[in-house]
Amino acid sequence: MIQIENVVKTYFPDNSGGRKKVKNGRKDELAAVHALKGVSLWIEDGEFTAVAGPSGSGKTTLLNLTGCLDSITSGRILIDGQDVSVMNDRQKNILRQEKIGFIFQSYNLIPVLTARENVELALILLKKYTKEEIRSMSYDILKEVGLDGLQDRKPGELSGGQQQRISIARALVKKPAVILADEPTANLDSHTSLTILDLMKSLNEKYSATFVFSTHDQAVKDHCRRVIFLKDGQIEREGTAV
Amino acid sequence: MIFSMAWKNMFRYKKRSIVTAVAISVGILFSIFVDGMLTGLDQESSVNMVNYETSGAKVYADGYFEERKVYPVDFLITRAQRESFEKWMNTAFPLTAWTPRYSASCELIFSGSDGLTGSLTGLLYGIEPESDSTVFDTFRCVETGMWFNSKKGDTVQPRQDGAVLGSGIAHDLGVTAGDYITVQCKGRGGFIQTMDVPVTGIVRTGNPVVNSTAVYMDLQYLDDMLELDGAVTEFCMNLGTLEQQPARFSRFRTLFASSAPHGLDVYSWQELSEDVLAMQKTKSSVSGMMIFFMFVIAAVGVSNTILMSIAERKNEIGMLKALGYSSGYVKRLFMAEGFFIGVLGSVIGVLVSVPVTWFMVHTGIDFSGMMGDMDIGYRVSLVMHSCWHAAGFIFIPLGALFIASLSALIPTHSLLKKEIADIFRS
Repeated sequence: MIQIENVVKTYFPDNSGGRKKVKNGRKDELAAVHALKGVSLWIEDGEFTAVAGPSGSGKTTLLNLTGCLDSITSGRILIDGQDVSVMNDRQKNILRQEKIGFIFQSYNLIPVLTARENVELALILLKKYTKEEIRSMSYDILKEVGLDGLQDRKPGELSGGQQQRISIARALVKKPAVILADEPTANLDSHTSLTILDLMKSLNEKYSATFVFSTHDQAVKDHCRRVIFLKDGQIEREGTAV
Repeated sequence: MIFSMAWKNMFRYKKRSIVTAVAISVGILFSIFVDGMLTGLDQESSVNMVNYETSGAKVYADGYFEERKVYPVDFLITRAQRESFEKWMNTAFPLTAWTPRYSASCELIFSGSDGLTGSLTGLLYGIEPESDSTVFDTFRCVETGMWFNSKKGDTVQPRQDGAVLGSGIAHDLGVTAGDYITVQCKGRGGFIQTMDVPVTGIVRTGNPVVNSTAVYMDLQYLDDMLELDGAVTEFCMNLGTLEQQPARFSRFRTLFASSAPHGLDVYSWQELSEDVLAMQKTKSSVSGMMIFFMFVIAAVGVSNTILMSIAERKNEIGMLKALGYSSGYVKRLFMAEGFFIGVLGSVIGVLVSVPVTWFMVHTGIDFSGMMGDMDIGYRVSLVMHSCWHAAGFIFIPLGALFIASLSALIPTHSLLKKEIADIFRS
């Protein structure tokens, strides 16, 4: 379960943390950007949820904070009861290793590694599996996402949709509690987007992993049981897309 | 995984990695070249110092060492001391070769066939030609004429009243073998003696200072002319090769202190050449700084390569961090890339250094045309040779590897200070 309680995120242009700076002998208040202005929501285990909204509404920021990719200005986020806002870097690393999977818009695969090796990256850190187990788990998950026979290809030798499948396999292979997907279909054509969404939906049902998307793709919203609409850093409304 | 990924990443930017590796290899080549050259110069200079100038050690009368730079005639080893020392040597070190010498500054005057007269200051060495040849190698370096012999028809006979000149001073005076020169120097008690002597030979040694200053005359002849009464300024000892000398000198000095005749002191060749050695050391430090700057350039090269690599791979770095990899892991990954570029550069650098060093050892570079008999501090001829310096071949590439790995750390560190979201955004 993900609990987001009154989360505020403010960006300062020069990472000064809001301190006043002296410029030309005058004290100038920096222009702060309030990306999130007190967002609160609960996401239950196994949900397939989209966070939608126009550009600059705070979707990606909300996902980044949930995935411990950025620090919270104020408020709390709890993942499986663990408060990420008080964690140090090492604790956040461990949380990301074990409980959170990421799917990125631009896949972020390592081009010099094969599909299998890219997936293995997520498992090596866990140190709970042998080399053979890691290899076998990676093969299996790649097969499951429809890349059977392409495990030893490098990302550059595969299509965008296939690369996103590797990215999904990499997020799922460690069986995380939460998968955060930032605009996962933005770089794909509509047909491939639907296939990928169907794949994620089926994996969600099979593994009961919680999926949270940030998107403004209608197809994504259509696939989700719950859609949270953000506007200007606040929840505008909630419901289903259809 | 780190090494495998770093290895693959190195080939991902082939051209850039190769250019950086070549820059490192040039740095290594230059450093090995300078190191080999300096070590070669030091070794050759030391050998030439011992073989032509100082010998392994010298024995002086008390008080001479401190004044030796002005070649005093007030602190001579007397005939009685000489006989006692000879006796002591025969008992304590019967197998060690040694020779007496009389050293003094002198004025050489030469009137050429064109009627012009020139004069130069030189260093006069009174020597025993036979025993001197057991300590110094000067007799092997006769360029023209003969070593204290002269030829009458087909017969070669010893000649006591002749002088042998260094090639540099002979050239400066315009003297050739067979000419007569006038030698002026102080005799015992300070009187000035003037001698007209034939030049029987000209020597060109590996020691430019000897070539440009030395005038050798027979000690027996000088003894008569300068009224030395058997006195000399020093005894020169042959203590073997440079490697053998420290142990032999230490043994010699210990026994000398306990049982040698009184009124004499012994000094190693290093003590006799401390000014030259200090100058060599200074030059080595300057060259060491040159090597250091080469390393700095290599470090900047690697750092820049990694910086560009990082700029293109921010999303990958962000993704690794998002997967839970620590900043330390990412740093090690880029350090490994720097290391592999360093390995490539080191291998190329060492491979190119081998033939270059071989050429420098066997052929060297001849600077004589450009610099003549210029004194560059080192006691070497101006054909400069390098040497195979194993430490240079090992430690310079190791240093390059260390620098290459470390310099990858700087750009990585500054990126990893950011939040992961900022890494993706930047």
